[in-house]
Amino acid sequence: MNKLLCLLVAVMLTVSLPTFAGSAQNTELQFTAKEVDEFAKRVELFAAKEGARAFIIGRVGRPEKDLPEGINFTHTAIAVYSSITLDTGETVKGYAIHNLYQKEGQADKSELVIDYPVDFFWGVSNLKAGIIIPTPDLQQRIINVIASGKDQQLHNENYSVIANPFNNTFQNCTEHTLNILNAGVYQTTDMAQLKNNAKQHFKPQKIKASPFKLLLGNWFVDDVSTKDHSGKVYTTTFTTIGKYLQKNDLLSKAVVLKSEGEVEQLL
Amino acid sequence: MNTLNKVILILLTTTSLQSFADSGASQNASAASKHSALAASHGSVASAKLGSAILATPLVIIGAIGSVSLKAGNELMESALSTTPLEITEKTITTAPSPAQIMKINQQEKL
Repeated sequence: MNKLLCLLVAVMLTVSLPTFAGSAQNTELQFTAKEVDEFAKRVELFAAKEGARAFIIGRVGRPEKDLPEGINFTHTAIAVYSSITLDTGETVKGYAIHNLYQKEGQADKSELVIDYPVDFFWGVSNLKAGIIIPTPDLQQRIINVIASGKDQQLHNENYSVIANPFNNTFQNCTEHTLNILNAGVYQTTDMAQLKNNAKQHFKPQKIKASPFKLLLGNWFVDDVSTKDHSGKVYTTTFTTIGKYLQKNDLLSKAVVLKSEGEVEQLL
Repeated sequence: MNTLNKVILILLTTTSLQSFADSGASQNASAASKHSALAASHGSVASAKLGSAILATPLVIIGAIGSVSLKAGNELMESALSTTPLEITEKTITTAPSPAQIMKINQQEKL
């Protein structure tokens, strides 16, 4: 028993489990409030300059060195140009961000939450935004899905950070985003049809992690499950959504906006 | 075997697994402090520069895309064609704090 124990301890101490992309609503501030505030406004102004009524927005909530290969953003959502009513009664224009966030204290469950750019970027590890602007007609369809409340019908609260986009057993923020896009494209909220369409046309990201690490995550971490996968693990990412839109001629622009306003091509 | 399980659980929860599990910690505390931090960063003009949102209504374009159905009732319709750049408020907009967050802020202020 002692030898087995020692072996397991040694294994545990040397194994570093992969870090995946969680969708926490609020995390601790890594920059000054002024820096985050200015960056968030820069993102808004960039999208506004492009005339984006709806775009897909990504953030980096963890040090990039900790992210698995192929994953560049930790949280993805949809920003919609909106009329925003303030508690003072004043109405202003800007972007409202429609998120799927993990529930506080219940990491294996999620909820749909609207927040705003400074909320969205509050706890990021890097002042860097992913911006995917769909074609105008798809933007309008995305807005219609959200404005009609159909995004609620596309939500499955059972959360796994590595959710399989080809079934609806679990859902993460990027899969929810993909569901909304495809609900707009195919004009349906029928989940079976959406998953069938995704299987045929969407290429997800393979997660490169050892089966042992995934098994440990499956056993001990609430928001990691491989139950919805058979064999290798694939999930939706910000970048694979960009590639999907590009491949189907539904993409206007896909860029990464950095802290000083530098713009890099995403794809 | 029980001892073995306990040892493994302790190791996992105190070392490497933390990288999975720390994504949702301290949400109320950080949400409460966000409003204070933003107000401080704006100084004496904070009240004019900050806004708490209570409702966001998507804006729909009329005329730009003729084939789009506008039957949904939860959006505002803009009469003009898409203008570029779109108007963006200079204010910093945040989600309005929840009652729990407000109470937490009030408690902190009392201390």
